[in-house]
Amino acid sequence: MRIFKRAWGIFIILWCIFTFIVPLYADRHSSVEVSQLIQEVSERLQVLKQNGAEDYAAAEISQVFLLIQRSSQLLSRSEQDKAYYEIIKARGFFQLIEARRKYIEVLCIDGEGLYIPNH
Amino acid sequence: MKYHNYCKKVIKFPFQLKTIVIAVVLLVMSTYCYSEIRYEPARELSEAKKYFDMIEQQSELKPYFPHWHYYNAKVYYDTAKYQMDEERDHTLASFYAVLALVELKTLHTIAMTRKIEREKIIYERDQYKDIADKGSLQNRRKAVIAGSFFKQANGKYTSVIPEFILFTSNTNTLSANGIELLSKIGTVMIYNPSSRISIKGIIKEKEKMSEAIEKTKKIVLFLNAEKRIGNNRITSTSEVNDTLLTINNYRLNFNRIEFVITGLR
Repeated sequence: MRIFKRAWGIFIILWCIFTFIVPLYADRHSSVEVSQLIQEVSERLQVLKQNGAEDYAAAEISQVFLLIQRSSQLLSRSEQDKAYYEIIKARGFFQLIEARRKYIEVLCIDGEGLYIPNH
Repeated sequence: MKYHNYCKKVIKFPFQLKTIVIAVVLLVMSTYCYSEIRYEPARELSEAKKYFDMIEQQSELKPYFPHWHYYNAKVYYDTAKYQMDEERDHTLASFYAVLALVELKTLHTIAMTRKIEREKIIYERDQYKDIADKGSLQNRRKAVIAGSFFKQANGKYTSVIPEFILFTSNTNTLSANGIELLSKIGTVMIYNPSSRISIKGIIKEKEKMSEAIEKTKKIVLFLNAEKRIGNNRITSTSEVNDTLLTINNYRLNFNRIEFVITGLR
């Protein structure tokens, strides 16, 4: 038992050394800012869903949904910076969804039966 | 036993060997947990790298790459790699890796869209060129009529051109614009061999009747000489008419030539 106590002591000392070598920063983004971003992204996602984005970018939509959820969880744990990064990741997906829509339009609608692509 | 006691005396460890072994095991376990933290950004980074390589290999898509997204992706990827290897900030590494991946996917989709649009334009151009080249004589006739300035009314193709456009001022000489317009009329008649043209010079003043006759003759001569259209297909008359013309809500009266072509198919 004594051995374990001592081993634990050594581990704690080593862990402290490793941990405090890394500088600690305060969160750079406020919770208000992050929650506003979450709301903005959620609203945009709803609009896209209503416009039928799930038909052409289902994977991206679910990814955005997951990132919003993760961001909200991190925010509830007061990890604003991590929450901020997650929500910015989610926001980045919107341009991909838009690009997918244009691609599908060009592929199906714009051709009007005149053009059939090779792939 | 003796040897063990000897070691104990000579090498004095601050802790027992067992204690150190357990501490090392704990450290290994914590390192394993640390590697779990590293796993997600590393996976995202390798995914981005694979996507990058895949895109770089698609040489037929390269001309359609949007530069903005390409350089964004490159910067994000490099930053993610730097955060992963140098700064060891895994949150930021994951953040930039995902952004790089999204930029790459967007770039790929836009490039494919542009490629299809380009292919479609080329396809349409070829189709229209084929129609124009291999089209029937009737199609070509229609194209010539469509390219001319005649308006269709009651089965006749008519056009009214003011004298000041056809002739240089106060002379019987055809102007450059006049030659161009008469050439178009001649082309329409060449493509429609059974067509006939009626040329009517209309003037406001009775005194200038002879001038009007001269001008219509000039037009007939031009069509005969330049476009080889026989006199049997051309009728020329002149008349005095005071009736006002309405053009864009302006009521005007000027000397003019009226062309009426019949027999167009």
